Order: sequence, then C-alpha cells, then structure tokens
Amino acid sequence: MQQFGQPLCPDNIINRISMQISRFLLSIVAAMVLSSCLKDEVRQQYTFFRPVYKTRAEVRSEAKSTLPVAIAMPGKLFIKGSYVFLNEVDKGIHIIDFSQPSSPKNLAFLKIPGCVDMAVRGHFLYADCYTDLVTIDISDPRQVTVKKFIEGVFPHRRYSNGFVADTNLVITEWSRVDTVVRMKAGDGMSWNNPRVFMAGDLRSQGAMSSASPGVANGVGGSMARFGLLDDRLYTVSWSDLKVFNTSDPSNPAYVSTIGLAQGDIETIFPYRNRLFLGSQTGMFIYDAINKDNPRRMGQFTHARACDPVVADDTYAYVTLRSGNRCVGNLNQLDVIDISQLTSPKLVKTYSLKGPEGLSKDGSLLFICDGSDGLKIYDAAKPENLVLLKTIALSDTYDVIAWNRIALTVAKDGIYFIDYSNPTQAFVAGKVVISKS
Amino acid sequence: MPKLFLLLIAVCDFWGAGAQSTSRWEKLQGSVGLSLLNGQSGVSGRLGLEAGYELPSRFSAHLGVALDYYYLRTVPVFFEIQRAVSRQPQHFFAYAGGGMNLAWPTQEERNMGGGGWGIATPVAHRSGLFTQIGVGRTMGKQSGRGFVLRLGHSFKSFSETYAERIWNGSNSDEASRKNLYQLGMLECSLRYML
Repeated sequence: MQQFGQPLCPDNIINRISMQISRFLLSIVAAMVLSSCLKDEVRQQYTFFRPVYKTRAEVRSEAKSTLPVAIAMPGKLFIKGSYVFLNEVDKGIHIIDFSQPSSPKNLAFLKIPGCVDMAVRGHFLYADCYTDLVTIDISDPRQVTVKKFIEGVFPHRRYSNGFVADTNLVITEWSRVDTVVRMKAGDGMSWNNPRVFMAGDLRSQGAMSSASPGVANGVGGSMARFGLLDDRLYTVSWSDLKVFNTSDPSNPAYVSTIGLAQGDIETIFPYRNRLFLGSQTGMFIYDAINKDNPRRMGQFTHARACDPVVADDTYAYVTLRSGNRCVGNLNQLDVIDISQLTSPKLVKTYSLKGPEGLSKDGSLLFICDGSDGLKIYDAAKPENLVLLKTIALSDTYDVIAWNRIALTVAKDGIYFIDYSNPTQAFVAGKVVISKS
Repeated sequence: MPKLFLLLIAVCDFWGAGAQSTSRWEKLQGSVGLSLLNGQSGVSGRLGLEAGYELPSRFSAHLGVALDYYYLRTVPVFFEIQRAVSRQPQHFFAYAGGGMNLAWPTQEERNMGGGGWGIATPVAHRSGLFTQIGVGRTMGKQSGRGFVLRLGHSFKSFSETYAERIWNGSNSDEASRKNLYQLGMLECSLRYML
C-alpha cells in the first residue's frame, strides 16, 4: 500500500529506468562511432591532364607561322627538299633547314593546334588540326598561309582514352594538374581493374611517298598515319583508311573512307602503288592501282606488338616492339618476302633491344633500336643482315634516311647523321630538344 | 619476418611453461589467437601472438605481432594496455593499443594491374599505423590456461606508390600515383592463454 508523502516512482525504479536509457543511448552512440570507424578510405594523390577548350574559329585563327621555338615534345618527321618538318605533338610543326647538316637552323614554327600528323606535297603542307585537315601554303615558311580546312574528317581525334571532348569546342591544350581525392578503398581501383593506362603515343613519322610529275611529294618514314602516293593523300585511323585527292595541291578534296575490318591500325607506308598498313597484330598490303579505292591484297600476322613497317620491291621490314602501350614481349625485326603480295612469307627474324622507327635507303637499313641507338645494316641479303655501324644515341625512336643523311630523333635531340660511308657514319649536326 | 614469428613463438612458449607452475595471474602472460575482421572491404582474418606483463592496479602491458589479411597482407607490431575489472580467473577487461603496420604484400599485390593486356605494374608499399581498442572476457581458465574472447575496433594504414602513364590527348607522360589507405574494421577474436 502506498503511503502518503512517498513518491509515485521510487528512486530505485527511476535509477533502473535511467540506467536502461543510459545503456540504450550508450549502445546507440557506440554503434554510431563504430560504424563511422568502419570506413575504408583511400587518399589518392595523382596527376592528370585537364583539357583546355577553344572555339573552332579561335583555333583556326591561331594556325600561322611564328618565330622558332624550342623543341619540347617531338613527334613525326617529314622531309621536303632541305627542310625537316618536325611535329611538336598537339602544338604544331617546327621547320628546320638542314641544307648544312652540320649546322641545322630552326627556321620557324607553324602553330597548328592538335597536330600530330603531316605530309608535304609541292609547297603545301597537309596536317591534322584535331578533327580537321588543314592545308597550308609553306612557300615562305616564315609567312605561311592557311588555304583550306576540311572539317570533321578525323573524328577519332575528338576523343582520347575514353575522354570525349565537347563537340562544339576544340581541346587546344592539356594542363597538368596535381590533385588529391578521398574515396572508398576499392572504388574505381579494384585489383581487377587495369591500373596501367594505355599510352596512346602517336609519336611517329611521315610516310615515304613517290613523286608525281610536276609536283614533288616529301619523304617520310615508317610510323606515319599520313602518306602521299602520287596525287592522293592517304590517312589511317584506328580502323579506316581515308583518301584525299591532292591533284590540286592547294585544294585537296575528300574522296572516300574505306573501312578496315582488322582495326588496330597504326601506320601507313605507301610504296609503288601499294599501301603497307602496320597494325598491332600484323601488316596488311593494299593495292592502290585504283587510287580512290585501294584493295586488300595480303596480310602477314604476328603477335600483338607495335610494328612500324617499310618496304621495297621484294621485302617488307617490320619491327615489333613491346613496352609502354605496346603490349607483348617481342623486340625484333621481321623480314618478310612480299614478292607474292597475296601471300607474304616470313624470311627471317632478328632479335633487337627495343626497335621503333626504321628506314631504308638502297641496300641500307636503318633501325632505331631504343637505348642502343641507331643501327645501320647492310640489307643486300635480307636473310643475312650485316650490322655495319651503331651510333650510340639515347632512346632513338624515329629515323628517315634520305640522300646520305639519316635524320634521327632521339631523347635529347634531332641528329643529322652522315652515312656517306656507312661503316664510318657519324653525327654531323644536332638540334637540341628542350625538355623544359 | 618468419624469424620474428619464430622468436615470438619461442617467447610465448617460455612464458607459457612458466605459467603452468604457478597461479593464473602471473607476471608474464602469452596468448595466441585468431580474429575475424569485418569492414567495408569485406571479411578477413588475422592471426596474432601476444605477450603481456602484469602492472599494478589490474593493468597489464602487452607486446604483440599479427599477420593481417584485411585488404592487404600486413604485419601489425603493437603495444597494448589492458585493464581488468577484477583479479578473478574469469573477468572482463578493456584494452587499447597501437603500433606499426608493416606492409608485407603478396607477390600478386606487389604487381597489380594486368587488365586485358597482361602488363603488371610494380607497386611500392610503405608501412603505416595500427591501432586497436575494445573489451574482452577471459573464460574457462583451468591450470593457468584459458580462452579469451575479445570484441573491438582496429585500424590499419599503409600506402602504395606506383608509376602510371597519363594521357594528354595524343601523347602520354609518366607520373606516379600514391594511395594512402586508412582501413577501419570490427574485430572479434578468440585467443588461447598460454
């Protein structure tokens, strides 16, 4: 029986309830603390390139010649007369006068945003300007004139490595950005995800071309995506071949696109009405007798690797390289008998260190063999190449041998190598690459 | 690292032999146990060895080493303080500790990547911190031996650095990426007192 004056709830009951509430609250707090402490976080510190956009009109207005600038990131080479056209990747083209190989002169710089490929016919230069083909009159390298833009013929340049640019604007620069982000461990970085990024290194050369009467074509190398064959300009993307009619060099016209089912195409090398296409899985031979509709003749397949190609009447020379974006474990030269275009046959394989571009002049074969430097072979007997000379240069990756001068792009400069006497070849001149 | 394990096992054996001839709460203690770890990255396990020394006021100090498989194989080496509720053979206690979390990645973890191209990237790992806190209860002690059940939270960190090629539209450049991992997990362990 409850007594007068006694509280309705005795102290011990209140204490019990308050203890229960306290325990309950404590368990909730503990659960919250524990759950917040059970996060797996990763703080990522990395670098990426961020695109800088401009309008198409702004880009076109910038296509002009300027004073020579330092070479920082050299790309493809092209030779016309005594001029070297050296691509500065995505920026434009250096024009270098090497009439005196011992003292080459950097004459001018053509600002062409988004340029990675080029070819020269007569005194007109064709280059890609991101998705467009631009024609420039280079009669006076210091005062060039833009003649024509053909829009949207290289749609593959609109995106890169999965990045799709705004179609109304053009990416003109990539600024390097250091950043730190926090994320849940495992998000976007699973062990199963490739953490090796594809390096779409388009550094390569122009393609050798034959001259047509009246208008002379320039000379290129083995790693180009642009190639001139008489009055046609052929360009390859990952999986197609485009034909441009340059019979009027100042006014090239788009002709057609030919789908290349095999894909993986990296280079084109025109030679005597034939187009040799290098892909990561093989070499493909096209007959260009019908200039506007080349026809596939044969192919030579190999394990996946990067494979620039040059050819002569009877043999094709393919270097296979691994490392970086070039997958596989091959570093070699394949000599292929192409006397039967429909059924090319492997003649012999030569082991190399890290071959990149190659060039052929008469019976001499020049191979950029990575850190070994430039190697000059006597290829009179392709089944038995004889090494004549090795010019020790650091990380060579591009060469054009023409008229007793082998223009070689190495890590630290453009070398002009005199091979008048191949066994005594020597560096006659050099233009320094500034990495600043 | 295996030598360190052998040494700790030998030390624990020595303490365990000593403990058999006297009462439970000896100056020196050893324990070996298995932990179940649960965090955002899933469930994993940890093998641990610990050696302790009794201090006044029901405190004890412990040194431990473990083989932890949560996310990345690591070896935590730590110092821990425990405080028992009583001196009874069966008692509750609280513990807290911390130390180094030594990265000891497997061959696969040292070469990540692969993707579709079969290229592996070597990864350099650096050690980080290890902490743990929680409560436990000793159970079924007889003849100076017994089990210990522990429930708590542990944290470990480490970093990894690897080279990667970054893309700038038409070319690529070499860069490095550094990831600092901070992993928190719930730990439930069963240990046997030596």
